[in-house]
Amino acid sequence: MSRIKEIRVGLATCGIAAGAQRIGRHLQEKLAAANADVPIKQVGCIGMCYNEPIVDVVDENGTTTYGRVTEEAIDRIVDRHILGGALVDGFRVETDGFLGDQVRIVLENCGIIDPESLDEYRARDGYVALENALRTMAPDEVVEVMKESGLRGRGGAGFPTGLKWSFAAREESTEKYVICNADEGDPGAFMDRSVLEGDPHRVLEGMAIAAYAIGATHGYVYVRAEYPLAIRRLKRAIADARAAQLLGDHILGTSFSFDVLIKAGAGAFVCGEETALIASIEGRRGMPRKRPPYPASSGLWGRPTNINNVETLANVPWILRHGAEAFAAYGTESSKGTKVFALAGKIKHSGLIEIPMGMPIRRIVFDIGGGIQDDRPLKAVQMGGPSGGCIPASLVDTPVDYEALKATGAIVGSGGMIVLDDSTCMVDVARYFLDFTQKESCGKCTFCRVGTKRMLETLERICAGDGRDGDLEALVSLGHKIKENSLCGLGQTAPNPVLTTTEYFRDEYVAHIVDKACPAGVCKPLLQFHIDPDVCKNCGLCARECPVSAIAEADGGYHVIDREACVKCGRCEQVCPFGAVEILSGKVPA
Amino acid sequence: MIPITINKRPLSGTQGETILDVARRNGIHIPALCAEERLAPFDSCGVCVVEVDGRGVLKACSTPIEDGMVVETHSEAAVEVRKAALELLLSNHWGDCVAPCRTACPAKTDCQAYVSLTANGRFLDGLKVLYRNLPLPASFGRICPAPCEEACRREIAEEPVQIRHMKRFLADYGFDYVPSSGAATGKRVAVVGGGPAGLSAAYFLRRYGHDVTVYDAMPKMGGMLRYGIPEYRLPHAVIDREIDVLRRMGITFRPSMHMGTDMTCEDLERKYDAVFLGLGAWGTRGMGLPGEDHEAVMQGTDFLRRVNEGERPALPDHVLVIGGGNTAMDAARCARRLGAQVTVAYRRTQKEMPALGHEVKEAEDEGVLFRYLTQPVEFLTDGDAFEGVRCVEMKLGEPDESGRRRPEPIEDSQFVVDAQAVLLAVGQVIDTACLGDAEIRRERNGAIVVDAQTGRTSRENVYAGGDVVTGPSIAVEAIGAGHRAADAIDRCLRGEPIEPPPLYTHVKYGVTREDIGNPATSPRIRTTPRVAEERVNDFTEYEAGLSDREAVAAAQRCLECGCMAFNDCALRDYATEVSAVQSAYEGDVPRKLRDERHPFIVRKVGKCIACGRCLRVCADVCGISAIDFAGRGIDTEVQAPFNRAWQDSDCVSCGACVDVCPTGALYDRTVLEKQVPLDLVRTTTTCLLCGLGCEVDVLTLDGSYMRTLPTDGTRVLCARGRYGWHTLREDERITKPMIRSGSALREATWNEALTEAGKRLVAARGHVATFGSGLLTCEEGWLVARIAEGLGAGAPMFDINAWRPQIAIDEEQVLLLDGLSEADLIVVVGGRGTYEKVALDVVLREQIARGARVVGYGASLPGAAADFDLEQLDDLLVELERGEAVLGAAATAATNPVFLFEETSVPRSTLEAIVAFLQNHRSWRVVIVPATANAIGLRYLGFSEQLRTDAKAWLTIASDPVATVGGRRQLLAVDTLVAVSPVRTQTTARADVVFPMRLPYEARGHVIGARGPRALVSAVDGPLAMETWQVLLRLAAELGVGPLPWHFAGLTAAAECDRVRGHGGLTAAGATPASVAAIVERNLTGIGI
Repeated sequence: MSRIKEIRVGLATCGIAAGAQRIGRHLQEKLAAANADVPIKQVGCIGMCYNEPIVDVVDENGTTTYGRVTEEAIDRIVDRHILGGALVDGFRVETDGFLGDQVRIVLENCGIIDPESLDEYRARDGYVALENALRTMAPDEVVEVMKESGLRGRGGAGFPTGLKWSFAAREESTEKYVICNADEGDPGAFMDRSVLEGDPHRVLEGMAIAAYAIGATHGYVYVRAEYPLAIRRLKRAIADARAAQLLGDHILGTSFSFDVLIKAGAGAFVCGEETALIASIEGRRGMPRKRPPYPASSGLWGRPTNINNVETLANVPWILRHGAEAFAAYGTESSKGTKVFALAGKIKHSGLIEIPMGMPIRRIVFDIGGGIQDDRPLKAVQMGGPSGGCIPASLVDTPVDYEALKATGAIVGSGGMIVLDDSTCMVDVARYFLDFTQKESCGKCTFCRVGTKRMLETLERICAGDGRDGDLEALVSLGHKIKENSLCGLGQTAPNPVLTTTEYFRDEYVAHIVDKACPAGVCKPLLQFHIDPDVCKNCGLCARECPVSAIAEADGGYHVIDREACVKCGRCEQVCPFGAVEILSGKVPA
Repeated sequence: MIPITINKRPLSGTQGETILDVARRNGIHIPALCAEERLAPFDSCGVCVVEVDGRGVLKACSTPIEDGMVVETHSEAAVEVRKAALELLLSNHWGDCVAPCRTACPAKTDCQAYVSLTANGRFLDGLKVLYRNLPLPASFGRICPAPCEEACRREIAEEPVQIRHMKRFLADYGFDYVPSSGAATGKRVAVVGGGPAGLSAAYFLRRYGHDVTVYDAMPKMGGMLRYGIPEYRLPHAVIDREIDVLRRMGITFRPSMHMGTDMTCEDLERKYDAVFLGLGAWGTRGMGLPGEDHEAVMQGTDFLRRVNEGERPALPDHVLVIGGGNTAMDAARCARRLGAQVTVAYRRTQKEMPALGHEVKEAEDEGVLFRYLTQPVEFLTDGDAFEGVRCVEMKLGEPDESGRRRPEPIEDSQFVVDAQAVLLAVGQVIDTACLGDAEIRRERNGAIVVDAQTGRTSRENVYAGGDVVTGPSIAVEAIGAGHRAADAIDRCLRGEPIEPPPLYTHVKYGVTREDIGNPATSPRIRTTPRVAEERVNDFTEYEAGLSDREAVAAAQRCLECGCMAFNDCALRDYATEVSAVQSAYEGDVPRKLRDERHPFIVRKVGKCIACGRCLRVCADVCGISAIDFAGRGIDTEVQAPFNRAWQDSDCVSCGACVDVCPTGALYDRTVLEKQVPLDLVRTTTTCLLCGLGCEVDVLTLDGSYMRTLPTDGTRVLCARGRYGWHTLREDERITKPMIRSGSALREATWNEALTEAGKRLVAARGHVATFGSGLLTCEEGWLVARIAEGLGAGAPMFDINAWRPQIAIDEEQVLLLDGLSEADLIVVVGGRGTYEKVALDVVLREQIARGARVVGYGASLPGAAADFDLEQLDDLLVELERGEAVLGAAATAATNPVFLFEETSVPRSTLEAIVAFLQNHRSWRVVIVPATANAIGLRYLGFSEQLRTDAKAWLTIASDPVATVGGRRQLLAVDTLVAVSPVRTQTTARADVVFPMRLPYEARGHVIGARGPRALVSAVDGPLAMETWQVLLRLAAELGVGPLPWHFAGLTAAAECDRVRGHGGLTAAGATPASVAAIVERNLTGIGI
């Protein structure tokens, strides 16, 4: 029994949502009942969100990962593995495929250490980079290392981090600020949350190093209030770091002082834009303003300010510890290092991964991601969140690289990757993302405020079967105007999902507009339910289940649907034991 | 200097300037909605885009100029983006530039304006507005089919507003109003045709100052109005009265002049600069049936003309009228009045009949019989005898091109109507044979071909309009055509482009009951026609108009659809400029209602374009931040915190937000209760409601006060200056002299009142106290001082409200407000008086922005708190005693330190300490904001704060000493009180004799406030013919004071004040007693001495 070193329970938001707290309590009770003195610890997310709740058993043979753990599974794991030394089949997760191809820099500690333990972070070389920098490097040397590493901003825009630091560093001011942008708002993206929940000190260390490099004494973490666990762990980490003289006055006994405050954002997507974020911290409405002046010269309270995203800052300690070359060894010519992606959509292994830049999308989807759910065909990959674009299956060999992705019309973005299969309607996808961005527009620019709404209304019309000649051209024309005449990134990218889908999936738009058909069978107004008389056995189940009594028996021993009355709920199709109910779109048999 | 090129013009700017800055400075027009000169670039509307060589389309408001930049402000690419931005804004704009009633009116009469003015009881103003577009309001108030009412939105609630009746009401009210004609141009225009089209053209041409002669073939003017419409609908006396107005305007009428015989078009073209042809459509159409030439078959129009000429033709017992239009109704009803039995035969059913519904109903009431689906086919004659009309019964078939179902005869359905006479009313036709061979292009039917916008014919100086162009149509169409042609002729005669400038007009579509705010049901007020049995016996007018009370109530039903900013809307101007299309981008429009919670500011939220100017001026210029954006995306909206009413926020009602709103989303209430979009006249004068004396623009409608705005120089007014006049009620005004009679005052003649006042005051000579307030001008103050002298009253006294401790400050140390721009330290002392002076805050904020340090002692400075160092007033006393070193290091370092205070807001002890401090510290200056407007000027004229306590009689001028506790106490010893006052006050209530006087916006003269000497220009007519100086002169004469020299002719405008400022020693540095004397002397000449 002493062979067991520790048991880790994944207690990030994804784990908790899957019931990990209950599993953890059950594990404690079970071990206590067995009088087994085994250390249990909470860890962040290892990335296999599709397998939560996850329990790792670490013994001298290494780490055994159990996934989708139930209370019964805990009983068996304790009885047979912890107490009996035998692996428990059925719940064991093979991690090689998922983790094997990953390179974990940002996520090196996630799912492994207790995020609420400064000691565990320090045990894995935490704060070594900060200490080295403070004791052995001049600020401009730090900036230089960052430049050499080739790290580019991971928030979406991909601006070279070292260069950005150098701008703020060269400003003369009595006060400068470092802001960590944790206002992660893309639908389906949770990279920043996982890092803050799984390894908060890493972000604080990155901020402190940035502050040292540019000469700042105060920092803010601007984090969405919708991330309460991340905020709690961050607060704990800040308190622990202060107590250990890693934040506050005279850090580690040096002349460098730096402290961090948390600003919880109220959930405006646009506050991820740096000038809006600054306005929000200052207590004003989160509305972007024209740049220049850039925050590096006039940011928070008019002072030079450096803003980096969570993932960017989380890279910093590793780069300083391992050197710029080690980092630059990963990736492509223009895109160095690794990138964290949140895999979501119709993919088998949804979760969080970190891969070296340059990996083709195909490998991410099919090797790490395990392929498409139900083995349906891949249709497209939506990248970069609502600001991104849809990469069609035909371009799935495109490498993850800033420039290569941009050429497709999509972007690396902050790391959201939503996999779409053939049951997805691309017009509907474009409508979904545009609906999000138009609601999140701050309302300042005419093109963004009104233009995105008008585009959305056009898409809604098309999805409702009221598409008209000229809609497609109008969408593209207005889309480009919005991109070119909006002040901030939100408006400049909001039309992207529409513009990429109209380019790659033009046929689907034409089907909606001209044929009044939704080939993927998603847009309900364009669908018709139909009972195939040859297949129908006249059992009447559909008629009994129909909530609006739209189905009746016809002469000839089969049932028919009254299309006027049908509300397209799909119940008949679900209940028909013979598969006689067809969902048709476009031209329909009489 | 940075060289740049805009529209090929080499220009230059300085570092930090934007493209828009440089363009504006050089008079290059770039449309911009969110950019405002006082505000930092906001970069949101997307309208100010320009094309920069090599960089594409950029926003001019936020793009800094760079060396060698080449800019095109109206390149194709830039205009495409600008147009798209405007069209997106318009796609989300819920409003009507112009009310639908006015849009529907072919003559574009300003229905909403005269209806709403009527609702406000402003009948004369309403009539004047009506006359702006309609020369014959009494006639059209009777006979117009009122397309306006069909468009009226009130119909969504229940029934349209009675717009036509409103015209009749205003025109019949009894005003002797003659519209003025413009300055003579020396151009001559001939108008042929004295009907609606010709009279309309003549009227507008005369208003533009041209010399107009109207020729008409008939002996009297009026055309079809007179000869086609029976008198029971439109009495000739009404037409005569309206023609007389036109004659009094200077239009020459030449009746009984026939085109083609008495003159030709070429003759007129030679003699006149332009010719307008309004010949009408007097030709008649027959049916081409057998027997039609029998004398028993008459044309309806001929019949009506004869009746209108006074003939009363004898008619047989039974008359058949053929036709279903209004002429048929008129002929039928006239025939009834002449005693005949009348049947109207119409080939379709009542539903298809073109006559107005109420006409048909009234005809039926009068006993006219109707035979529908009846088509005459033959007039049965036997020699001279007329034996009836053979008709065939019809049925309705398929709709024809007019949309009406085509009547088809039913076989074998013939029958005979036993009528002894027939009136044909089957249509009139154009007859232009009189034009002979004049080379004027015409249609095959004789209609003159004209350009639709201008009415110009194929001959350059010949225009035409009305029925001669359109064929028979409603008269109000002819008014519109005459107006359009008059405008075109006018532009042409002035050498301007003849085409009217296009104008974008936004319209609300699909308005529902919710959209009009679910008004409580309020049906029309019925006017009762005379009973049919009675009216059928004569030609007297059959229906009465609305009474005063009814008209006001009927007008109050107006929903105020039109935009208050219709003539002052950048969105509209720019939309016009790029030929924007309202429907370019379709989508939901937020149908937001008016927010009328604020007492002065109305918000039309659906018109907001989210430019943010209002909230930025509130925060950045006024320092208040009462409002901000709320919501996201398309729902972004300007709100006070938590969407409370604006006045419940930090709003101080300065109206700065209204002034910067580029469209109609925000507007001021005018003084009227029901708001009216109006073209107003702007007069620059001075606000006398506090001691600042700000320059203001007073906006009037023909001399009636409507609203006050800050001038460009003043920028922001306080609530009191802007809306203070709104609180003045007309029933508070004193308009006639009054004498005490027992416990009440009774009206008296001037002579009675003067005699009584003179008797009483002369008796008290030597024991009279004279009061004046800061509302008096310098000129009036001078007269008051002379009267006081003459009565042995000593110096006139200030109103007790304005009393302050006697302070002796060296004039050298006193500055006017603009002297602050030199100061590097401003110490603001004391409270804020009785209201918030945003105007003063704005001046202070400018000084802060300039770099001056502002320190407040005991000063609550709303909205500016963050910029002020607030200290306790007591601290100042301590510090003043110890000397300036204690005022802080800034005071020691300051080279131009200034005190600023409002004189009534500083306790006596503090004031004395400041005076003492000033005596010992000669580098310090002081700006004193006096309590009342002209306090400085009056003090220079000898007015004093010392209260005379031994008086037995009081003479008060624009002063209300009884309103104060001290005044009431002193009054006990007084047995005579003579008051001169514009309004009822506590003093006038106690007075023995009361004289009226003018209010400041009605007065002329000069005043000196903290902003310096300024002219008072009379902008408002007011109820008093006599000016205040005239009242004072008459009083002086009665009292035996004088004779006083007086002459006012040279003082009429602000320009005079500027001249005085240049010559008379009143400089920005400050006024002095000598310079005030110079002002007064300017207005005095030695008359009689």
